[in-house]
Amino acid sequence: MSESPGKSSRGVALRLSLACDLTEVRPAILAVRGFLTEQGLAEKDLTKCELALAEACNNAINHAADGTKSKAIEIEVICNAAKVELRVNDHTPGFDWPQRVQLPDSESERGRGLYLIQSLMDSSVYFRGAGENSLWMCKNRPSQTGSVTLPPANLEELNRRLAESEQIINDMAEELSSCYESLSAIFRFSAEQGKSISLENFSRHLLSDLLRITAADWFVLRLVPKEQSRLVVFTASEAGLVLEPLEVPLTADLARPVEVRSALNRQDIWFDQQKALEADDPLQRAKPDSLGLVHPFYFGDTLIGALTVGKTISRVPFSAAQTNVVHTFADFLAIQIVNARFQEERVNNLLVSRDLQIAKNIQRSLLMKTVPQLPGFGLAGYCESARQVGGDFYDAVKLSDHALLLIIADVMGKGIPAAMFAAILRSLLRALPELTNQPSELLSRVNRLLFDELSEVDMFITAQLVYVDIGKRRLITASAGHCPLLLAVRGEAEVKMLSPEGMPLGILPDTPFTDETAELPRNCRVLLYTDGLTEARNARGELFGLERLLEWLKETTTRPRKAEELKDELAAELAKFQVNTSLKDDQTFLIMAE
Amino acid sequence: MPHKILIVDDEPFMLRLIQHHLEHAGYEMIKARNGREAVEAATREKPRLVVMDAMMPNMDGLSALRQLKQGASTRAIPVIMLTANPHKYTREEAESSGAAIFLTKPFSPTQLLEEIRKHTLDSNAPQH
Amino acid sequence: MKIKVQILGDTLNIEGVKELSAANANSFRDQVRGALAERSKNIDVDLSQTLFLDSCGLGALISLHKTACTRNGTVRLLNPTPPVEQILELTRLHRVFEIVKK
Repeated sequence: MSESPGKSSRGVALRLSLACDLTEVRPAILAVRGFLTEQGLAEKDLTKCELALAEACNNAINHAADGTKSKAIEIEVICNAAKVELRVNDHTPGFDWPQRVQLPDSESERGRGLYLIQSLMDSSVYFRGAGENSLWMCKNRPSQTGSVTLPPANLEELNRRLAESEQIINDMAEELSSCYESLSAIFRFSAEQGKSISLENFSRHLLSDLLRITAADWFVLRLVPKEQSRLVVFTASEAGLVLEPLEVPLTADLARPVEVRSALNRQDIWFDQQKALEADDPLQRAKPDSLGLVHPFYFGDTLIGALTVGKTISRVPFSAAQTNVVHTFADFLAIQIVNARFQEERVNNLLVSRDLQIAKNIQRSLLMKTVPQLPGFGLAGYCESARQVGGDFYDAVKLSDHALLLIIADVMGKGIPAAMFAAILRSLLRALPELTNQPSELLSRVNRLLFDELSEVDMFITAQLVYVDIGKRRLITASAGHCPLLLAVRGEAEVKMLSPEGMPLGILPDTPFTDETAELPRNCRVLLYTDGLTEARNARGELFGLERLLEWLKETTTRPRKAEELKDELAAELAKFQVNTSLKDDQTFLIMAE
Repeated sequence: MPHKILIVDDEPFMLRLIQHHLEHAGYEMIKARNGREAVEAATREKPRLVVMDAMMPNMDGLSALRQLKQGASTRAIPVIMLTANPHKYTREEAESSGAAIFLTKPFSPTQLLEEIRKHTLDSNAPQH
Repeated sequence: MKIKVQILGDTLNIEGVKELSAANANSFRDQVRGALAERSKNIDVDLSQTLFLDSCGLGALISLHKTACTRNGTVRLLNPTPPVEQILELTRLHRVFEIVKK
């Protein structure tokens, strides 16, 4: 017999081989026993392994045909914390492991070996090969940390344990039912959510179902409206429970109503006969003699609301399972509410950006498609709209071969309303041709026509109208609170600023406007603009300012340029000034050059 | 005299769960583990109503349902079918084979009791 | 294995059985049979020192049991050690042999 112990990842191993001789079995088994004792195997497991191994070896040796008696038998023992594996390998012809291993009758002197192996070991497998066989046996070791079930001492003990198990099963059945109840409700209501008309209806429906399931009588659902710190009743099971809103202070204070207390403490609060509500608690006044539960619910850290469910005091209090269902319903509802709010916000954002898009489209449509030209004079317009706005526009109406009406306007306000007023103003100005050479009259008429609508929406319009007469080489201008008209002439030191008196349209119904006339010398430049130009800021926060504009305009008189080119120049100046900043306001200008 | 309800499911814990609710509600219960046992038990015990899982090995729920509806002594017994997979049998298919109603798992125990009560309405119904 | 055999009246008493396994079961059986007197009908086997008994050992005891039966006697197993009790119970032979504990 030869022995070799070793360690593998499967555990500690012992290998030995013995000759195919019955007398060698006992010593080999003793060696294995010694090894297993060292591994700390318990006594009863030791005797079992000892016997099983002996039977296995006996079997192997007894099945050896004469010719193979000389080939050794190998025993392998692998021991780890969880189990002991015993393997017996032989080189005999082997035998047939029967389908069912049975004990022979008590008279029989042989045939108990396999039965013993199966009874003593937790598992046994026999591999029969050509001239080589292996019998594997395995004994599980008791786990150190697991609970050991001791055999019951007597019938009483058995009954007690049975009753305990029954109780546990009952409790599990309760818990499982509440989960099923909640789950089935969630599926039901999730499907309904999509078709639901309003969050209020949905909540009421969901919570009525809750009353039915938990055998409760009433509920009050309070929500925290956006950016407020109050709990406002969103829906309740009856009209009498639509109570006044409750303030939620920053700190918990014992005297507060129970709904507020539970929200601040982030904890459920139960109330019943023993733990009654305060006399001045709104719930106590509305529903005296009740028992119930207040459950605050959150989305992350944000308080969404508080749900109170109650029943009359004579009924059975809520079970743990029913409380679970209340929690699940409330938390599910919280998610629906948060989702609904996100949706609303998203839709609002979409609407706002759609509004702006429409406003921009209107604005673009107002801009003149073809620029009217007068002999010798060029005209160019520029309009760059910022994100939020839509109310600037310019226009040039050809009145005859030698006369034009120039218009620039800034509708104060945003979005579609501003764009619409701009459109209306443009149409009105074009519809009154007889007044075009009296710009102040024109403004007066338009002001009276638009006053009611403008004041209703608290909007007003600044505008400047210029009647240009090439033949007489002069212009007549009137202003409704707008930026001055700039007139630059070559050779003149100063740029002329024409800013006739007049308030913006929409402030007063009968405000007076005045006309101002100016000559148009050779090679002059006329600039109409909106304050988006002068109020443009650069990356350092400095204003573009009127000075800079005047400088630029004066400078252009020194060079012969077409209006189109001048427009591009000014646009480039603005762009250069505003590099690395975003446009805050519309920038519009109209330039006329000879 | 409390109503006798036959529950049929191949999963023991399911039988236990349904038993939990029926007992609290005052019904008497007979249990069966598969379709074949169900038909035998129904013929022998003549329950007032049957609650049966639709998918079981060894004669599944629908086949058992059909057999019950064919048997002279069992055809009038209302049957509530439970299924975990609502798509396998269409509601029409199931209800046309004679089931009183189909409930999908996870089912609401309250709803189950409601349906049982609805389909066993007569003066002997237990109060709960 | 050296066993001690005594004849007390009609009973053959065997002591000193350290182990009864495949290696010595047959010789044990033959030895005991050989020691039976004319009037011996019962066999008492003291197993208080038997640390190991396997199915072959059981076979030997059964063989002795048959022998005793033909003489209208019985086999008694005295004070079996836990390993012996274990195998007797597992193989349900604890009802076949009379087991005596003192």
